[in-house]
Amino acid sequence: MTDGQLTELYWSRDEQALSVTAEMYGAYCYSIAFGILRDEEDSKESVNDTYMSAWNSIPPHRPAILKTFLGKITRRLSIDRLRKKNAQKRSGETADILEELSECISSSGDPSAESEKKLLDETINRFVKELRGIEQRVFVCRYWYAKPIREISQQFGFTESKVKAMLMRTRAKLKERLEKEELI
Amino acid sequence: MTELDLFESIGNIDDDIIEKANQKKATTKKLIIMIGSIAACIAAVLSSVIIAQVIQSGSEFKTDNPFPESSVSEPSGNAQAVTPVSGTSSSEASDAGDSGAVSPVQSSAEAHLSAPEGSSAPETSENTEVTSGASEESTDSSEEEVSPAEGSEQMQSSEQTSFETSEEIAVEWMNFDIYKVVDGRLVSTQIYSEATSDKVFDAWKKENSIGDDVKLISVDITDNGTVEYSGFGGEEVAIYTMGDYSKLTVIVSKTLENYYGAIDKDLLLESLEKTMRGMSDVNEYELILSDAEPEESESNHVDPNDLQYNDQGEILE
Repeated sequence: MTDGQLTELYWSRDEQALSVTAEMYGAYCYSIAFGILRDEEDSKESVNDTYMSAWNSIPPHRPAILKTFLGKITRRLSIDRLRKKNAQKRSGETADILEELSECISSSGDPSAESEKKLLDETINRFVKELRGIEQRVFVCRYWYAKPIREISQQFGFTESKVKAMLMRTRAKLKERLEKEELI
Repeated sequence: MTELDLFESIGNIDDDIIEKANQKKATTKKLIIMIGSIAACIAAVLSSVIIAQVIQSGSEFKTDNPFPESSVSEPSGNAQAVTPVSGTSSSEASDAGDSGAVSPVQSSAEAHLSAPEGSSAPETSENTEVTSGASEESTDSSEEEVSPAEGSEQMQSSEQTSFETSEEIAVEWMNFDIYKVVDGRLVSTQIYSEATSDKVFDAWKKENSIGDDVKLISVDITDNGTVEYSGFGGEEVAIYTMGDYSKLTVIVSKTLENYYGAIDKDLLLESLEKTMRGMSDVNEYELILSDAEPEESESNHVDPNDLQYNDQGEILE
């Protein structure tokens, strides 16, 4: 079934849409959730919440790329769960990723205000768009998909140290950009 | 802002970027098929060229030379050879990641010359074998490659041919960090450019709003590498060994001083240094402001026939 046909199932409020979504994108959403939460139960719950959220969003939405639409919902829901976990309970890869990103901000301060979030979203989007080829893909794999360094190095055929160096350079550039936009 | 806020914001990037990032590399099988096809095409082209050469010239063909004479046009006045760029800077630069490709720079320890604008010198190995001697076929004093004094015309022009071919495929495009002064501090922007000092310098000017009255006169890398000469098959061969120290000298027109008032002088010069050093990994950097005019064709150019050497093979000033 194509994405267009699946979207039509949502629009016609056919509950088969949920089972087809689980079949086509369940594993994809689970991998995103697990990359962030690193917990099987929490990840499954996030994925189930994703299906409900998609059911409530389509309509009115008609996503251009259904896969990434679902992926974004999963990611957001997983991060919300992560916020509820206190810092001690965040383990492994996620803790590493957050620690890496903390280099880009001057200090871990208060959560952003709504207006600041919008500007931050736009700044990040522009920044990532300006990244070149492989650099962009590696950055997104690490900080959107929350993939481990080892997996990224295998995906692109790089050594782990090369991936780490690339990410370090990109984070430094991101920090500069955030400073320039006076977001940090 | 917290790191979680940042992590969350990254989630809102465009869908196509997300989708593209997750694509895996081409499978091994596809790569093998692609590489095999390319290799087959190259082999077919080379075979036809060699056969055409044998038929056309009817002359003895040296089997160890894959680039026959007739396949290449007569070198132009500005024909350039790919030169082994000397020094720690070039080999380390060639090993660098995104940036650091060595632009056509000139080494006083080298017997050969940099490529003109629009091309880049190839990556070099530590011991570079170079053929010295006057070129009998030079059509212009600007031609950089020297061919053996002895040897057939065919060999000579074949070497020219091979260097032309090498020069064509040596052109590189790389990512470079261009530094500029913004609000009293240095920030960098990355550009994707031909790996030449002229292009990088022009990009630096543009970022810092420097006009065309400021010109790059020359870029020179000197190092403590050594050249040894030995006989090989009746020809004199120079073997270059890299040293452990190199210096980058950038000569810019004095008109740069006109911008000191509008832009903080120290920061401006620092931005230039960081930008140019980003192209080559050197131990030392020097900027010289000069009234000299840059050459029209290329900024880095020395006629090999003008170079003279002492008994140790070092280039005399």
